[in-house]
Amino acid sequence: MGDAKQSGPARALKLAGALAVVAALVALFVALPEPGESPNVALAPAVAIRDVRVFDGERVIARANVVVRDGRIVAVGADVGIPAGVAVVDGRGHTLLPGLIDSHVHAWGGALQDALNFGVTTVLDMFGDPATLRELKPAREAFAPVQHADLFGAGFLATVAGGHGTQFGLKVPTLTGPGDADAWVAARIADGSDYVKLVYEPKGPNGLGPPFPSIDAPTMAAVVQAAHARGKLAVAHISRLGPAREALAAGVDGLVHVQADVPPDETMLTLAAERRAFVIPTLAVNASITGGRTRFELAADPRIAPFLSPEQRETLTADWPDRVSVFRAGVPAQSVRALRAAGVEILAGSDAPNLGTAQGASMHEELALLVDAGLTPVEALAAATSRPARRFALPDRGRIVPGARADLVLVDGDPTVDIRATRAIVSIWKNGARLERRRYPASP
Amino acid sequence: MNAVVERNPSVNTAAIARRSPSLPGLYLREAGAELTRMRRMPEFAIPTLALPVMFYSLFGIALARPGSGTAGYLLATYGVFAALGPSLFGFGAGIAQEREQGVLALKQISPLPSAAYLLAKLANAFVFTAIVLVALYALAGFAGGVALPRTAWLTLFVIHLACVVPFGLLGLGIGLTLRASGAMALTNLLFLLLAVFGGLWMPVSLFPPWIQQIAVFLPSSHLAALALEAAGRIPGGGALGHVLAVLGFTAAFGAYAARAWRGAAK
Repeated sequence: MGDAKQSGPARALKLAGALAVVAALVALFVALPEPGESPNVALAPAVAIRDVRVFDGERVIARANVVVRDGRIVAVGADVGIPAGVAVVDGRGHTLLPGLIDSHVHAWGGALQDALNFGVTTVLDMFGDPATLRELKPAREAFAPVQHADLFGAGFLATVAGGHGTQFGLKVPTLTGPGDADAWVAARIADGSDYVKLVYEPKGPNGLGPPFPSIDAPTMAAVVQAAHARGKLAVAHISRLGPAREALAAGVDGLVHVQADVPPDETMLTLAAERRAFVIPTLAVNASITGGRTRFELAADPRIAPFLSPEQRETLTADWPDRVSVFRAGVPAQSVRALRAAGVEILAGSDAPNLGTAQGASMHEELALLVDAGLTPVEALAAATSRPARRFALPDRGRIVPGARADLVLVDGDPTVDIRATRAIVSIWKNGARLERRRYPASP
Repeated sequence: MNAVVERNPSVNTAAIARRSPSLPGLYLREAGAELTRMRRMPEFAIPTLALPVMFYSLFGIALARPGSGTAGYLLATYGVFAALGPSLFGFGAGIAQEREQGVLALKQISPLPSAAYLLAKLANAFVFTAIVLVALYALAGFAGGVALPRTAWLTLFVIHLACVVPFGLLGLGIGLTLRASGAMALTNLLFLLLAVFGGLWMPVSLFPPWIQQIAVFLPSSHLAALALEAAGRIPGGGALGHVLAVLGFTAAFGAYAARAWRGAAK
């Protein structure tokens, strides 16, 4: 090297400096977090909620103590003792619910934070960026406190070029025919999808239908088969009775909307019941499409309004453009009533942030609409907790039982009698950590 | 360390007296001198280093919503931005100024190989970019909750550092053809254009479609796409197109810079 002329000490000093810099860089590089590493974050301190009415996801316990430690529920029961040194919350007059699960959202931007602000601790995304899904997977396995709802998702949806789902700016890999199905599903699983979502909106026999193309019946069936062959649930977006029947006949595990053109006929009811399919009616978004006013009541509710972010307020109060639509007001509620009577399981989902809905907040409207459509308040609460947890295989969610994740919502009053009491949120815990709810100044 | 040597007159004169440096030694010394120059010019060094770090702290971390994935996405694009400042300004505006001051002519008539002068500038841009990248990665990993596989961190670092080459060649061409004031103005414009419309500050998908079309013609957007793919932010498959685009831009900027260099030598 050309440094032979430098004095020995200066050269040694230079070399040591360079080595120190390299060592520091290597150390930093090795210390950079990898996915799945438990981040060095302390778990939430233990807390006990005493003398509280508990809806455990399935049934009501009139009075119990609930003890939470290290992000999990450790004890539930009337005779459960409160350990010494644990922070105690007085639950008298209140009801403790499992954190809500919204079974139909599209999560981007601040969605997960907005959802948690209204007690929705887990969301099932029905079409979104798979990168976000992958990035948040480690967080949903961990028990460290987080400031956002956990995300499960379908990633991209099954559609054709120019079909529903391609209009939002995400570059969706599309299908051209049944032959693409297996490779497409395999690619979704490689993307990190938890289940498979397809859009089935074919033209009717009279040539009428939505103004965009759809996968055809054989492709729809092939996607369902490919998903099942690879051990994933297949769920379908439909808006009309005919395609709903076809999707059920093809073996979908659930419909992520209820049809809104005509109520179900015997064929659909029998198919859905026999195949044990579930239905996520998304009544809130249907109501906003057909001119319902319930979202404005929600937006004006003093228990809701102060906690709406600007984005939530904007989507909740936005109107759908006028257009010819097969949607008929009242049909979705009628359909839910008939499906429930036939023994079909109903799950609660908001389809936020579609026009007329808001992440998190719209779940409280959906619950009320489900009760208006004939579910008991306890059934509606189960539709937002234990039922989606069981259907989507989320083992430690949707229940208040020992061992379950401590995602909890404490509300004033008794939503097992008056469902609108879910809006009177007293406290939210995510992974056992109490959330400081965000308030927003009233918009002008 | 150079400063230590230079402040010691006995060592310095001895070194000069015995000077018959080897060729690699010459390159190293020129690069070292360039770094020393930068260190003695903190009014250039500090803002160049601070700008990407401050922007990322604000938009990638402080303003990012929990669970939004913003910190991870913007890390990929801000890493490209980190290379933009040192490359464009260090080469573009820097060389134009040295040309006007006659420093370039001095270097060209001296026995110093002209490549040593250019490689010193390049090494300097690499060092500056690397310093910013280290700060960005530390912020993302320890404050932004970004977790990536070890190979992804490494790939990202390589891609981000490599951004210095196309940006540096572009800057070199400008610095060799324009006067200092003009070079500064044009570099500023390109800096903003490449950063904003290339999607380095915010995702291009937030822009109206006609602005998104501009991105295709900017090397920064293709570099950002490669970085995003390395960070797992976009599904694979389109990488080849972006690699080819980056190689094409690099070749074009290289040809421009080479032409400008021959012109400046006269």
